[in-house]
Amino acid sequence: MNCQQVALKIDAHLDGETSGDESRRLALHVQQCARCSAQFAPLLQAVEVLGDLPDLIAPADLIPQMLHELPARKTAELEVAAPARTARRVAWVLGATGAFATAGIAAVLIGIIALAPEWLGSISIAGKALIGPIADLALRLFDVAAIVAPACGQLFISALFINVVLLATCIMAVIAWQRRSVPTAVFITW
Amino acid sequence: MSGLDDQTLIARAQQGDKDAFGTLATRHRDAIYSFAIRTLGDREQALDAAQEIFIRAYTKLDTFDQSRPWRPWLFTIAANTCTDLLRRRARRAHTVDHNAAIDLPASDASSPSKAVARMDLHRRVAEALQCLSDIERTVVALKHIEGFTYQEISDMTDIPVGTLKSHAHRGRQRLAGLLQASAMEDSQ
Repeated sequence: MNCQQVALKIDAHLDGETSGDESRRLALHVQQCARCSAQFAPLLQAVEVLGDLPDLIAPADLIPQMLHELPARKTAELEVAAPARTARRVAWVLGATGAFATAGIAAVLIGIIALAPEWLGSISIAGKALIGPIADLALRLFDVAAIVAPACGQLFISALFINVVLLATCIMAVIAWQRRSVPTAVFITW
Repeated sequence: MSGLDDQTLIARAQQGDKDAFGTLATRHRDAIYSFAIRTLGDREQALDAAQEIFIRAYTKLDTFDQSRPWRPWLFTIAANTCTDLLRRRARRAHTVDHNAAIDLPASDASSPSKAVARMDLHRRVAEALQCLSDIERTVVALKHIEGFTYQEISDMTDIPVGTLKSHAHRGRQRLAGLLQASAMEDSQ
């Protein structure tokens, strides 16, 4: 084995991933080559010593003390676990309901705005100011969709909007739940 | 009870036999304590961690699959417990007690001078371990002291094997450098 091969194989050797023959040849080369010895002998020694380290002796009362704490801890953990599980279930049910309700309301609104633009003429100025930009956006999207998919432009826009709203809502709810914030998860989805 | 194998003790402990769990825990007590003290570098924290590890193991015993080996499962709990403690510690200032991990059991007295040299080397390695980063120290301890494979360590820590190998490589390099420096200091 030459120096280059040793440099390539040294990590595999230290990880125990070389064959018996390769390990022997590598160890022999490191012993005999001054440059490889300077570079790799400390590494080999360090790993050998690590494997040789004996277990430290723990205090004799570690286990008796631990056993003494067991009944109180196990009961307490079960008591904490049950309400947490119930709260998570409630959060998911409310979150899912909120997400579908939001998506449903959004679909209805888009349907009304996109399919009945003439209805806008009958609402108040303040109402137009609020809904107007949304209606404009919806109508522009509708035009794009009509070019892209003339046969199902309206359905496409509604479905796209529903999916975007649903996805965003679910992502926010999951993030809030991941952070164990049940009230926030419910609030976001609503 | 002490003559029973781990699997039998586990089966009894899963039925609620605390004495069986006590025997099982005693069998692995020193290994867990050693891992904790080498990972955390603090004797008091290691004692608390070791208790916490066994308590968690007992409360999660129902989830243990008896067809799998016990030791990697126990060390999964140990690695996660120590990682949690290291994260909490990182959020506040902490001084590592470099002497904590160098309590060594008495070695055999067959050759006193060799025993002294060996203990000195063990001391220097244990000191150098505390100078590695938390993840390097954990990976090096699990791989080279406890003897787990990279796949087992990956299952314990949810870190990919390739990343573990990088941490081990860097940890070993630093350890070797520190040992060399320490040997040169001692010889001066």
